[in-house]
Amino acid sequence: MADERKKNGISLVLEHLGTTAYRMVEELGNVFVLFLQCVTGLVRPPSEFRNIMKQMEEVGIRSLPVVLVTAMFTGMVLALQSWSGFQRFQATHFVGSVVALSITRELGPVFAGLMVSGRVGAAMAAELGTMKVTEQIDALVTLATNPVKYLVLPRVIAATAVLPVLVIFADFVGILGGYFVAVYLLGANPYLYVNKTYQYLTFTDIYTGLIKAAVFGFLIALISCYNGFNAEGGAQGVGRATTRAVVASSMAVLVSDYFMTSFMF
Amino acid sequence: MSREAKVGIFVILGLVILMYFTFRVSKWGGVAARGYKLTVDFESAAGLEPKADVKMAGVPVGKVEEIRLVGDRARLDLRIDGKTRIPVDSVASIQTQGLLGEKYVEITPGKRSDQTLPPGGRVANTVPPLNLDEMIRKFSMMSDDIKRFTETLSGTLGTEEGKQALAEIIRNIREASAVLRNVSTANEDRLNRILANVDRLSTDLQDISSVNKEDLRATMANFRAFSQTLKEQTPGLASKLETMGDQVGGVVGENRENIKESIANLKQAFGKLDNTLSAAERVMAKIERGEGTLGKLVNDNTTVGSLNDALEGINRYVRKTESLKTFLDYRLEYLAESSEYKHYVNLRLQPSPDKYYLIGVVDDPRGKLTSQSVTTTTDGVTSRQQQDAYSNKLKISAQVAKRFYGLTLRGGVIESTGGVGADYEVIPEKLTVGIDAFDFARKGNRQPHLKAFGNYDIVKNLFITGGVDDIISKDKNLRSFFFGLGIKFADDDLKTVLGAVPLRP
Repeated sequence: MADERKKNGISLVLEHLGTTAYRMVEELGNVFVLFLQCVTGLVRPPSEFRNIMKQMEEVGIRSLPVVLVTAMFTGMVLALQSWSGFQRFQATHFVGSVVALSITRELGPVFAGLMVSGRVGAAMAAELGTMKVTEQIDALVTLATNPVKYLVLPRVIAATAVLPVLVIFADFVGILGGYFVAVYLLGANPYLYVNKTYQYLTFTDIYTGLIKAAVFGFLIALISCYNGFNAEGGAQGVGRATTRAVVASSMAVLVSDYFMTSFMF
Repeated sequence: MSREAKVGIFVILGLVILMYFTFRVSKWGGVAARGYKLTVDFESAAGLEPKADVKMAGVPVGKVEEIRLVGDRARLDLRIDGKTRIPVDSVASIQTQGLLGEKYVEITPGKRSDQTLPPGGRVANTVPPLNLDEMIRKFSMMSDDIKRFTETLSGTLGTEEGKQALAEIIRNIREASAVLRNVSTANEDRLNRILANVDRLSTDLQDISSVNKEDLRATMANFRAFSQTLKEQTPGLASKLETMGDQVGGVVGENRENIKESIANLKQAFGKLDNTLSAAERVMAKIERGEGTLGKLVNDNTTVGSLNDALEGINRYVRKTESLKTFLDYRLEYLAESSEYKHYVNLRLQPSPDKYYLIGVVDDPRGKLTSQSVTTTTDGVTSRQQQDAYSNKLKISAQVAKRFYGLTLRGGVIESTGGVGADYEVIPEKLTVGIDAFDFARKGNRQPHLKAFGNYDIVKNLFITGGVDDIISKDKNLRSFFFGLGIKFADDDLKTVLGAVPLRP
């Protein structure tokens, strides 16, 4: 503390920056270490089948209503907005194509990812954080149970596997929502709308979305578990860890989305 | 329900929806792999997308499956519903929904509903997509015609001859009027005098008549006086009239040639004008009545239709001849055994890709066989020897060929005898191997002529050939290896060559 007073403003700023960068790199490294531990846990017995199922139910089935409502309204608002845009140059029959392409390529996976990161990521971080601060994880270690294999691995596997399935539902419901709005509210020709929806949609559009979703699920689970594992200092620490988990996993979803899209474009 | 079952249902439902999507967006869309495939070639498929509709009489009957470039034309693969039958003479065209809407393929059904296109068939008749450029070109052609017509009219009236005639008329009229004016001014005095005399005469006559009322005698006296006056005046008047007449005559006489010419020119010019106008009138009347091509064109609406039909017919004919491909090739083969050259010229007419006719001329160095029995007596031993001599002969070939994928079967006249042959395309458009069998009833109880060969295209127009001629012949010097090279011209090359030849002066 005595040293810091001697330092001038510039070096304070620089030091702050340096510390931040150092922490970021350290955290990234820690997350990667967690990932490697997961991989080693994957090949070691016993299998965590029941545990994985439980997490799948949690991540998939329990998240389904949230994801479906989000996707439905995304599709609906997309139809509404693109209708008002296309109407200006008499191309309203392309609304179906735009809705289908936007939902399958981008909005379905991203919104599902954000919803899951908010719902499930927060839950994971809070659960593991509580276990951490109440020293349950240390207890697991004393019981000769690998906490990463027992707690993290099932969540990562479940999220990675289930998010694409959620996105399939989201795609379907989103397109359906767009259809309802376009046909029943805006008076589009139902036959033409369906025709246009599928005319320009290719299988690539759908499966690139699903690949994205799998990556999102993986990132959300890994980051949330990491934050939960590193919670410190009682209830407050759990809350902090939860917030960080949601923020970090949402950012990871959006940032990785851009890079994956540019890669698979 | 157990947790596992719930997750299972969740995943299965997801997969079902994914399968549904996959099915809907797959290549065949709504038609799936059902139905059958047709191809059609267009000069341009601009604006057409895969999965666009195929419609017959406006009813969707299939989808465009694939669009690709074959040669310089766009080839479309169409997937047609299984139950839809398309007559062979149907016409395909690319239409636009509305003025700026999306494009689709319209099939106008032909008349021959008894013959329908088989799966994998090709819709041969197409109408090229109408584009604005072409419409503008047609309009400009029409306006050219109209311009030419007006030019003809103006040519009749506005030639140098016509202009000169008109100018001459005007000049002559001016001259004539000038002459007349001169005549009248020069004789003004005399004319005035004549008029004065006449005036006086009439006054005198009036006087006489008024006096006459009073007294008959006076009348008589006056009459006498009048006659006396008349007697006195007459000679002067007469001489005056005479001189005036002379003068007028002189003036006219002097200008007689001019006047005469003027009148003649006038007459001629009016005659010409009359002719021209009546001719123009006749043309106009004809047009009015709808006679002649132009008149029909102007007056009859159906002519426009039939003109369109005619143009379409020409288009179709041109396209048909376009689909008829012509190949001309020349080949030189060197027969190794006999060190002789064999020349071939073949014309191949190919109305469709799977069929062609081959007409050729062969210059065969061993075409003609003359057998001679030679009897030689040497040392009292008489030996008979058969001597065969071959000589040059021109032979003709005429074959019909049918192609099944890579294999082409030929038959007909080969080198002036009946024969069959088969070719197999080992490397498409590069390497072909084949065998010809002909001359089955050969002279001298010989085996049929069997020839195996291979052709390799080095470049598009140049190929080498090689093989064994007369394989199963027992005569050693007849069986021979051969090799050679040839040139061939496809349609486009011929077109280029012929196009360079001026057909019109």
